[in-house]
Amino acid sequence: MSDQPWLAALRARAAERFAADGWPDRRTEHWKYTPVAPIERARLAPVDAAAQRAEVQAVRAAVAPEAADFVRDFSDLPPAVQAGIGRVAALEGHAFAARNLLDLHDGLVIHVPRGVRVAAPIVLAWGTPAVGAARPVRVLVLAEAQAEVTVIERFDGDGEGAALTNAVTEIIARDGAQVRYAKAQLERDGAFHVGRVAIEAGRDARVEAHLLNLGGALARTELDVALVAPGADVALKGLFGGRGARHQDQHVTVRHQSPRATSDQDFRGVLAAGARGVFTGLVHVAAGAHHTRATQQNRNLLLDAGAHVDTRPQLEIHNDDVQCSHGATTGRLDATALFYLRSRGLDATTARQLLTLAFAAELTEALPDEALRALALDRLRDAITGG
Amino acid sequence: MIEIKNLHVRTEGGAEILKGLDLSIPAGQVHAIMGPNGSGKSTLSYVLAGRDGYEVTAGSVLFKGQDLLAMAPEERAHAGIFLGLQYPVEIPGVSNAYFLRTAVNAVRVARGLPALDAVAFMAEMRRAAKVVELSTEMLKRDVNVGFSGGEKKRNEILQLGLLDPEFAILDETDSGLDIDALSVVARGINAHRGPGRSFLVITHYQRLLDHVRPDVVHVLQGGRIVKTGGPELALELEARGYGWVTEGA
Repeated sequence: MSDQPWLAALRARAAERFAADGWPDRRTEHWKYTPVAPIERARLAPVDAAAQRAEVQAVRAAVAPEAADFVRDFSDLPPAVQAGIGRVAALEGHAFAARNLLDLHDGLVIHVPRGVRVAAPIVLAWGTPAVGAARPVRVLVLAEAQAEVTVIERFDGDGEGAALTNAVTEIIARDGAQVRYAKAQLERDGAFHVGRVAIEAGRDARVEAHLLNLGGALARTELDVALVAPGADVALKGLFGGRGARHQDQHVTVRHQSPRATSDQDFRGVLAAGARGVFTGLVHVAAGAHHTRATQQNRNLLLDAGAHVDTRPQLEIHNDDVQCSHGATTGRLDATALFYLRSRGLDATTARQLLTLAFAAELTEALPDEALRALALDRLRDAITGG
Repeated sequence: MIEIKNLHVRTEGGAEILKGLDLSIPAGQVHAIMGPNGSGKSTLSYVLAGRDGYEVTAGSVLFKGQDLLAMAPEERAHAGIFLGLQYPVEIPGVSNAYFLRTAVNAVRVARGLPALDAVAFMAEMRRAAKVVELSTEMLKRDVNVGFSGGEKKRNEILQLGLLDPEFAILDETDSGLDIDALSVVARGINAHRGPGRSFLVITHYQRLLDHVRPDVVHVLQGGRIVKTGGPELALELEARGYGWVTEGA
């Protein structure tokens, strides 16, 4: 089976782009804190077309039956839907997004027609690529006006071994649409994960996106949000970290392009024993985007002296008529609270776990899926015990 | 119940706070320690409960014959020590009910009792909450978050009731309470008095002792017990202040 002509055309564009840009390195400003060299050195081989199609079918087959009708592969997309692919995830300056298209033969599209509410969450369980493989994953969520849908992407695996997931997810929420999205990056030890979630929110659309960046050896997810019409409202909630040889990078760009839109960012890192976290967040408010309301918060918990975090919250505001706030804090577990819990009979490990889970509680409780919450809590407990 | 001998303690910074403190509290008695600010009252309570940041340079503390100072804070709790804090800690993100159940079951399991299931614990908690007039609404909220001063102290006494200690230290439990809150807290303490349980009530003022009548009153000053007497000593201290105690000594 050969690729669709539209996909071949996208790929040709991506090839040009990739040839022009090449891989980013430490001198590339927005890759300053995250090294790409380990991924290049691993010499991973792209997953071939047949294997990609097989995986896409397997993931699609596992979607709950009552939601399955809304999920399609690339083989029979109407032109209006197909045109959404590559629309919000721009290629310029994004070598991995270009590479994603270059290696891509199939993906999934979730298309919810106007006014339709999909009650069951659509869970895309991607698992983890074979050792030595570079796997592109591509998803488009297209919620037409007044549509409602919840989409959960899971990337998880056991054991260890080098492999790359290069995941690009585009979310288009048209006027009045409501989209809840969660991405759980829980890849096995030693794995690389580079991802991009690009969101476009229309008039009075509401998008809530959760990122769990808790697995793998080197993982980065870029969240790019464009608020393109009045009343758009996007909330981003991210939890990252873990224990040991992990590098977790979240790179957030929120663009207010229209008046009266709202965005909130709440990112929290929990890091221990050599783990390193990066948060870069930019809120950009365009000249005409009056009555913008934007918040951006990054809080980090370092569980021991071996953990490290770099945080760069930034605002770039081109008009006066806005309410924007941002801030970042980095701290340790509160010694007084630890003593209090131990004086009530909790052992030191349990007390540390309880306070760590409490630090993340607002984010874990907001997750749209019970299984996801349990996984996140397990990872946080492991950050304390090394389990 | 508890035997403190020649206890010398300094902070990690190096200042000596307790300078040869002796104190013995038999089972079933309520002892009060009074003393001016900086006399070492809170240091004593923290050292007994096992908080980091203090160095014991000499002396011993035996609790029912065991070396208390060799035990971790949680081991002391399991053995039957309870400290009601002057400033109970707020823990956002942890519900009071969850915290209490985790604590109660940690202590029960350490004492060889079966852990309580959710239903049995709720019954136990309702019973204990009634004693200090805390509503079940307070139990659902995060630990001490948004609690008034009085509610925080009532929450401490609630924990005392649930954890069933043999020796309870109450560090300035009366501070920051209005008269109504004070009498609720005092009723709570009195409800838990009994032949098998001893109390060390640390306070700055006489007024708590109007409600919780002590068997023995000690004056702590300059890191040592400088005077010991009956309940009437507290009244005298209230009337005359602390100066005369050492002047006369």
